[in-house]
Amino acid sequence: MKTLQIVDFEKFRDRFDAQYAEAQWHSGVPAGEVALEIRRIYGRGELRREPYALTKARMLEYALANIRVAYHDFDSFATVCERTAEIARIAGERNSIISEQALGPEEWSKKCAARADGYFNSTVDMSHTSPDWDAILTLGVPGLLARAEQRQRISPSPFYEAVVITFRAMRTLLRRFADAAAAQGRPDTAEMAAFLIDHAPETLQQALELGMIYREVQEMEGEMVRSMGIFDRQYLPFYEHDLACGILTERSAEELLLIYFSRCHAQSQGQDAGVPFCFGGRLPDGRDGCNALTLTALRAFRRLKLVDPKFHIRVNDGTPAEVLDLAFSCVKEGTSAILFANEDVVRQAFLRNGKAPEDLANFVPIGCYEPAIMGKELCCSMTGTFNLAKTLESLMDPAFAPRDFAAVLDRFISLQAAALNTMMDRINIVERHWSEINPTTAISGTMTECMERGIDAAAGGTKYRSSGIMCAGIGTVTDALAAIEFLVFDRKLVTFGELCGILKADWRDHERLRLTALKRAPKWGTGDERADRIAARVVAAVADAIEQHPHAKGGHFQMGLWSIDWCMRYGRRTGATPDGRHAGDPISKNSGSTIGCDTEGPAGLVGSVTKLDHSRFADGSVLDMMLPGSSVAGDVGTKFMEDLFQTFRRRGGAFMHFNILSPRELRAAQLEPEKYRNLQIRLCGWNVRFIDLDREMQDCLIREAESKGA
Amino acid sequence: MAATAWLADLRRLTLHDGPGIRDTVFLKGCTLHCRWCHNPECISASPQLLFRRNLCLNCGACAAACPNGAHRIASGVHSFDRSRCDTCGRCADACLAGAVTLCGRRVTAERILAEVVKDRDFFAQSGGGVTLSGGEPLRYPDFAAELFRLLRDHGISTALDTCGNVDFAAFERVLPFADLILYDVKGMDPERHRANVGHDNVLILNNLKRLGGLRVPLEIRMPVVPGCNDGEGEFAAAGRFFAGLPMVERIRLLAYHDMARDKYRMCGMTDTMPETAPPTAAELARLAEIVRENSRKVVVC
Repeated sequence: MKTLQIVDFEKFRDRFDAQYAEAQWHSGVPAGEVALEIRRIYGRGELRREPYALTKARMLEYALANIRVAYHDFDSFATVCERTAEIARIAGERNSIISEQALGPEEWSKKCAARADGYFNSTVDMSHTSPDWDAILTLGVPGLLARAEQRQRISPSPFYEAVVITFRAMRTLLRRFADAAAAQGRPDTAEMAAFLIDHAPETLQQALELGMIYREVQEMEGEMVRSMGIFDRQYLPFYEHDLACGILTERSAEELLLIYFSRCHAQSQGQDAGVPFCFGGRLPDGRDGCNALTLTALRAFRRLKLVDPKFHIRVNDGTPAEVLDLAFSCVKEGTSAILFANEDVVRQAFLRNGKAPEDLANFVPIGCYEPAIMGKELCCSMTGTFNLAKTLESLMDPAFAPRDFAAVLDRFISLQAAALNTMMDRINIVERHWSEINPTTAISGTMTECMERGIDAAAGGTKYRSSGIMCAGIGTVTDALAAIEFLVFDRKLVTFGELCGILKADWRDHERLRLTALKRAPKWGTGDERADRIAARVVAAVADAIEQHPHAKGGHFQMGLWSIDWCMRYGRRTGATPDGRHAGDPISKNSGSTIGCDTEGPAGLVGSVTKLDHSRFADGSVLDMMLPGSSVAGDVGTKFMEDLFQTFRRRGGAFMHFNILSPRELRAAQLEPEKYRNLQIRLCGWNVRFIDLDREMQDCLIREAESKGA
Repeated sequence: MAATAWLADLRRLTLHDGPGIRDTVFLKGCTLHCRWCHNPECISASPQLLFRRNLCLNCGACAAACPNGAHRIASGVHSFDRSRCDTCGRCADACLAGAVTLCGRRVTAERILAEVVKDRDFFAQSGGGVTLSGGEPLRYPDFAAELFRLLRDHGISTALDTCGNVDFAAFERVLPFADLILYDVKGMDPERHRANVGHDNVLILNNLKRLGGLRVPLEIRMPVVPGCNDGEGEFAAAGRFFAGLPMVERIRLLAYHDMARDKYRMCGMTDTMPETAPPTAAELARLAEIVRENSRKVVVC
């Protein structure tokens, strides 16, 4: 086989990054026309009362045959296309219409009110999925198609027919990509794309190309691909094949991966939540799965220095030191889109939920840090989103006269459980209709169980079925409850009823009491025993309520202890809280402390967070570790980050990611953004450029960085 | 009665006071008074009130709490008369802004153990432990020995950071429980030494000579302070001195920095160090080479 010719990435870096923005289209019709025709097909399907899965497959079939495609002669891949968002838009509309019908007018208006209040939201989560990457890469498009055609012959159904249409449409798209490359005078790339029409991939270039094409198709179909699979494990056979045949060298493979990964940023321009790739983790035989490709990919990532893609590293006792050294070096240099996962605690969470031990090797973090078994589950990690701190508003009722703090805690827990149950009841009603709202044909077509059962993943065809509940604000809740105990019962500075009134007035004329709550009461994230006991009690009660709730599709509700950036939006809609927080201020982020309250530094944060049983958080839990640049200088600093994570992991923490920031640099970036175009922020589970954030978030980060020292 | 000491600060997860991740216990009271001291709040063995003007809300809570009228709010601005302060700490209790704090609380070794034991997983992971520093921790030999014994009982590695200007009997108390000694050498010329730190170096070098032949590993720490002790001759002589000490495993040159100036203001102390820039990396490397040539030991900076 021929040696693969690859351009010098650095020479073409800007052009690679502008591939989508400045694409020279080879064929196809503009997005507006595509959208119109998709609407026509949709209308015809509705008129005929055709099963929506079939209509949707026909819309996709049209889209893949007609969207604009481009090829640039410097590229090693042939997958630039103009996506249509119309099918996803229709899914959104159907979601509203069908959910409203299912819930009935009264429940629907209550659901909308809970959402508008910033308390909780119940929906179908169409954006936290991963297909079965093993099936995609081993069967290829023709293999997936043949499997579907065979099933359709044996037991015809709209589901199988839709899968057949979908994979046939993928072949059409592959042909169009090949034609575009041929027209630009690159027969080699054309041949590579054309090969995939009738074959499973054999080379790394083909396998990567197929991965990209699949992602395009699934996302146009209306579900986000929130894991690109276990990259090093999946692509190793192709990499080894290419090295053995002389198609690639280690060096040229790194260049190829640079080009491949750069595609993520070229598409998003840093405005999306990042394309996630998983690395490492235990193989089925228990050994760690990191390999030569892990290091090659990390070296490419280090050179890329972009906010997208993002890497998820599954860490265990056998993770090679050189992988961790390289990953932490990236973080220290500011390329911080890396999540470090303790796979042993995830394993416990999976086993708790009855997952088979032989499936656990295929754990991938979905989206930001939500665990799922690739190919056997859609974790739907944001089916419910719940603001724990909002329950404090119901708790602070002057009609309630608690005898002691135990009564306060009991009431809080019962209020919380009632709200959670209301939310999950609504989810159960709506989730039954998911396959009408947005059948997931492409994903289902990759999954063995869906294909064997003839049931779409959205209808529960997967081996495991779960619905995640993101629970935000554990720091604020803990601090608030600890402050009630401190102010009302220990120090007797104020009665419960008086405190209710003071909070209603947002602490007006009670600044000293507010500061007492803020500065003197026990805090989450300092390792304080009292605060940590409150947190443990609250999360155990929340996890109980969530896990014990019946699930419409016979699966599990599962708790997540994280907030993403909703700590801002939820905060804006949450009144003053007893911990000294003003109405509208952010609530605590992810599993961490209230901003500025982690006065014992990383030791206190890790101390508090690892007192919780993270195997209860099957929907994930993450600690943000923000460190000043001065604390991680030199090799000692790199080792410090690694030791910090390893201690967290050994104590049972689940996921951790880092920000290395200096407040001075952030302020300078506000003043002269053009000089800080590459300054990355690990926001909550993805990376962004600091200069792209709104002023409120920038100021919030500066406050947080200042509280950690210079 | 359990031995006690005046604690200035307990810093968790430090990286520069011995190997690995450590908790560093800073005790108050020093037997030297270095012109460039980075921890001026540790010079006096008595409690001191620290005042951070940038955090002050001028709320007057301190003035209301002080029985001696040391704090005043005049025209909406806080003023503090140290001569009236008896460091009772009531103002610090009352200050919610964190502007007034009390540096110095009496602690037992058990109390310190209860704190640092929380971080033992970090120590175990990183090969770290607890460093006793100051001030001069061997001003409290009973406390130091008790703490080190307790730490050793709990499997926590110990390091002593000392200026060496103490009676050797104090070393003998802690040596059975110490895993590492970080030994400061601030110059070889006795007169220049006296001018810089208020004391000659005879006792310091004699103690070092004795320790250098015993069983506890030593890391020598030499501050490099431009204009004060950075003559090449000093470092050559130091290197020759260390060459004869088998237990000296490493010599570390520490660059002067001026980040402590705020601390002098917070303590109400006179900053004795003239304006000077930190040594450059090249200067440090040159001095390190001189020490290396003369000592044949590992020198880092």
